[in-house]
Amino acid sequence: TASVKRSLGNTILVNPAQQKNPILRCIHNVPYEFDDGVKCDYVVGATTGVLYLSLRYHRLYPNYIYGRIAALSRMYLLRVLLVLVDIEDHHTTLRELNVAAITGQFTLMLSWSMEEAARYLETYKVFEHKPDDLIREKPADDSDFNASMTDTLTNIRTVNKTDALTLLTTFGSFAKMTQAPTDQLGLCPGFGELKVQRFRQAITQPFLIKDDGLSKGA
Amino acid sequence: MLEYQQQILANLLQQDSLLIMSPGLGLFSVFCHFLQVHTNDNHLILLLNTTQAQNSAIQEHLLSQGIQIDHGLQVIEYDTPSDTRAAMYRQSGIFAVTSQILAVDLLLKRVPSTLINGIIIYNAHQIRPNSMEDLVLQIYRNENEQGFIKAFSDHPDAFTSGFAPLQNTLKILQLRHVELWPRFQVVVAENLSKGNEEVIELRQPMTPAMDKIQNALVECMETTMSEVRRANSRVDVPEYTFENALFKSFDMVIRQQLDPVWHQISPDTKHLVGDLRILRQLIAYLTDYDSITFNSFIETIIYTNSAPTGSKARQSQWLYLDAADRFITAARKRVFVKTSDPEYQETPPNNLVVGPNVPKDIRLTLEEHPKWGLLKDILQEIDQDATTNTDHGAPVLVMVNDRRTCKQLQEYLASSQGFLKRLAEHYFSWRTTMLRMQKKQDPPASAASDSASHFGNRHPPNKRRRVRGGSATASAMPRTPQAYREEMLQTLQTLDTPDPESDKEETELDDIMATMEFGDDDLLPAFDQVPPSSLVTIQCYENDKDELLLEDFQPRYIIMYNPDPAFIRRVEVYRAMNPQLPIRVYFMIYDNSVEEQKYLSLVRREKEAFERLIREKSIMAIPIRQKPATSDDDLVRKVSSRYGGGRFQLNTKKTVIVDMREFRSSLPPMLYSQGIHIVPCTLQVGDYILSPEICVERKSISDLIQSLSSGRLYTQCENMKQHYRIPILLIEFDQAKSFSLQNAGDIKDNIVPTDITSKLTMLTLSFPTIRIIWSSSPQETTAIFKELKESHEEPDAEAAAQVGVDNPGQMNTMVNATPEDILRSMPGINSKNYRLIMKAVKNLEELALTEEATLQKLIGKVPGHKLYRFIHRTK
Repeated sequence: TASVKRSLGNTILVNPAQQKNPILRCIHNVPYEFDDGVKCDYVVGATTGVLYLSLRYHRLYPNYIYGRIAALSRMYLLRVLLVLVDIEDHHTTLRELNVAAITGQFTLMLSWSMEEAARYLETYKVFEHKPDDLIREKPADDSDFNASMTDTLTNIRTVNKTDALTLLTTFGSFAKMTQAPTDQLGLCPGFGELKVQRFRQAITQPFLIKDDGLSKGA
Repeated sequence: MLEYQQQILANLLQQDSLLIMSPGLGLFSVFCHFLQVHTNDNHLILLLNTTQAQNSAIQEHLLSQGIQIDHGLQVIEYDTPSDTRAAMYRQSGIFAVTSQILAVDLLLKRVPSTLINGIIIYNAHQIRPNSMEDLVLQIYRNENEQGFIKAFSDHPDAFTSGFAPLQNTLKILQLRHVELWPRFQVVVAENLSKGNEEVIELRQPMTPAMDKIQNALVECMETTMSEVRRANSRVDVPEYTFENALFKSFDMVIRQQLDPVWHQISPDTKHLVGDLRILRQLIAYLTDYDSITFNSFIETIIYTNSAPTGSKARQSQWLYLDAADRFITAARKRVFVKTSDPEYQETPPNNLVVGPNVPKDIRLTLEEHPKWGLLKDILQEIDQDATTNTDHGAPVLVMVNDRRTCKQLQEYLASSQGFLKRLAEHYFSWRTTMLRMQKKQDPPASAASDSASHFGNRHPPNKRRRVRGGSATASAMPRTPQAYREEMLQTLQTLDTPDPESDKEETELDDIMATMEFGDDDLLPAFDQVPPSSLVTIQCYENDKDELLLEDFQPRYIIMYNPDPAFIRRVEVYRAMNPQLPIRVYFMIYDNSVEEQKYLSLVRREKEAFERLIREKSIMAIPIRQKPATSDDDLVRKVSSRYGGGRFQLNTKKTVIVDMREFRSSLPPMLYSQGIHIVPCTLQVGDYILSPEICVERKSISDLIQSLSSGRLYTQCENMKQHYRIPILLIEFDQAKSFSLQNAGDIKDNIVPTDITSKLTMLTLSFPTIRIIWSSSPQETTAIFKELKESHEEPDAEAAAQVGVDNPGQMNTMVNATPEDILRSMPGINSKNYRLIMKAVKNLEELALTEEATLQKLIGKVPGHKLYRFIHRTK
């Protein structure tokens, strides 16, 4: 349809019913235009449609959103229910919306200010074709040895950057650290007994604990 | 046992209660006697919340009382297989077990809950609502009304924060009675006033250099503090007072104050809070560490802060203060002075035989701790005293804070000057390694970066206030960390002959490493180096073990090298138990020091804590045990709507399958208390399985941030999507924390891809079928789970355990998180091959011993090489 084609550009398509929504004023990183063909509230990508709901509005018209959710159940690949949390006592309402979104196959996104809500709309549009490398696991960067050693060692609770450097300069390599006896670790400045214990535990604890009885009770 | 201790034991045996005593009055001994009473019959008694050290102290004590091992305390370790555990419980006895394991065992009916005679909770001050202890006690009381519950604590001050802390703790403990035994209780006071001891208090002034360092450190803390407050006006950051700064966990208090908004505050503030911790550490180390180790710690901090120019690493702002300059210089001068220092001329040339690593143009000062000399004097005095009073000397006990001090004193007493000399030799060779490492990494010396912003721009760096003492260095500008490093590099150059061949440098480095290792051996005295004729024993405070220590040693002279209020009481108890022994106590404290302030405020805080507890006890509503939420209403609904007339399910309770690793969070106890049947299981995919279709991955805010940037969440979502029709990401806020991802005021004008909201948006784009539950607390999560389950079938544990299992070996296998995380952060490792390593190699220690060829066989030539190189590379 026309609206889908047009949304391939860099413009957010807005349902004219949203004309008075103040969050429009907060959208400034991406252009938007009104389009009569839009079935949801905001089309922020070729396959992404957004329904917007402020909790204050929902309190006045509690049935409104259910109708909208039902009407859109087969459209768009990603259906977002963007909710503005603008009331204090939100527990019951949010509980209900959490469940409604799952049942209606919507992805719920919460925002706590107009700016934040608008930012989500902008981000969806801008990220439409962005590769997802940013949130994928990436192999450790080994170009900076000191930095990767620090990253590795600070996985242990209470070991910080300074401690990582102390270990490396005192023992020389990761292999030598693992072989250092407790007494010797305890002499490193900044290493109290607890830290030594945590370090030794991380080094000597088995990666895997096999227990054949684990699922027997289930 | 003393009269009051007997009375406490009698009360405890008579009724279930929480016992809170002043530290040092013998809680451990009362506790051991209580256990002893139960060793003879066939009781099944479970002991929760003890540390490993406490367990072995208990075992030792019971053994010394002639109780056989299998009747005494048996410890269930984290790797005790579940079948073995089940068999152990059935044989009865006293078992120390972690609450996590016990909760799982109770839920899976591995413990015959009706046969439990009692549960004992040690360190009861650590119990929190919705903890595993809470869950254990709930299950226990639901299934067994007869068995006893006793709780022990000697940390009265831990019961004074928050609203009605005593009442709430009692509620969790399912107890209605509390026994309070402060030092000022009448019977206690009477019992302890009988002995006749001699106490000699020695107030040792610090050296001028130490005074200077302490003052400067306090100044740095003050400034950092006011910076935290300035940046977080919305948060109630406690007033900075000297007293506040002293007590041990001041930075923790600030951390707690900021906790509700921790995920929202700026990285700068987080860094400042980290700085406060380092400064507090430094203040404590000033009196604990020898001058050389203290200085090397400061140097390490400077190095960590002086990333190569151009890098964006954050720098600690206090390093730019005048005060920092003062204490850094003063700390260095306690070790050595340079030609440019005014003190150089007054310092005698190094008459000691110094090693090759000590630069030639410096003079060693090697300041000793004043307490060391004092200790020597006291020991001499005792020696004379003892020889005149007895013929064969008398046992002397020196009590110190930790093992480090213990070693330090042993070394010092064995060879006073030699000790610092050896340390200095070691220090200079370490420093050489460190500087070479830095030099290699650094581009050729460049001007110190001035990119770092200075504290609130309120102290222009060049406008120095007058520096006390007016030393020569004071005329310079406050230095940047880079400047400190350059200065140190210069020191290094004086002993370096420039060598164009880098090979040479490598061998030199190896030489240094070799001497270092040799030096390390020197640093580790064997115990037999202390002359065997001497009856001096140096011990560190170890709380519960101390009680046995005094009785074992029967010392006549006790020297408290570091002050400890609890130990003073232990000495009182020891004296009251042995009225025939003349005992002399020396009590050492640094005058006008942080150490002194800390001691005084500890004593005061404990007294105030008891006064509060007594007040709360007199006015509190006595908790009445709550019956668990029944599932009656669930039953009705099930029959009427879902299974229309035909099928009636016997298992009417709603079931949620919970991953074993989740038994550290507060959600499982919450689910249980709301009448949901929870089944522990080892899951490869997801944390909670609500139905055959619904799989939930729970993330707290900090987990969410962490796993979004590590990419772990992406992989988890991939797995959930692959195996379940309704994959759900649960974003769970803490009840005490602010319910929003970012602060409205912190939203920037542009889209920042690294913001959490941006990453979350990207995640939903990558996984359009992943649903998100936003929950403000575990309570809310529970309510949402309940509603979701209304219209879905019950899950099956056997099936859930099979999901995502690639090979049969993976089933029933638990993963230890920290070693796994360390492995996964290593070069050469990725999300595909880390499992291969974990399967083939036992632990990290073994990984470090594995041959390169073996690693390459496991994960391929290039990754294997990368991994091997990372582990063995020396810088």
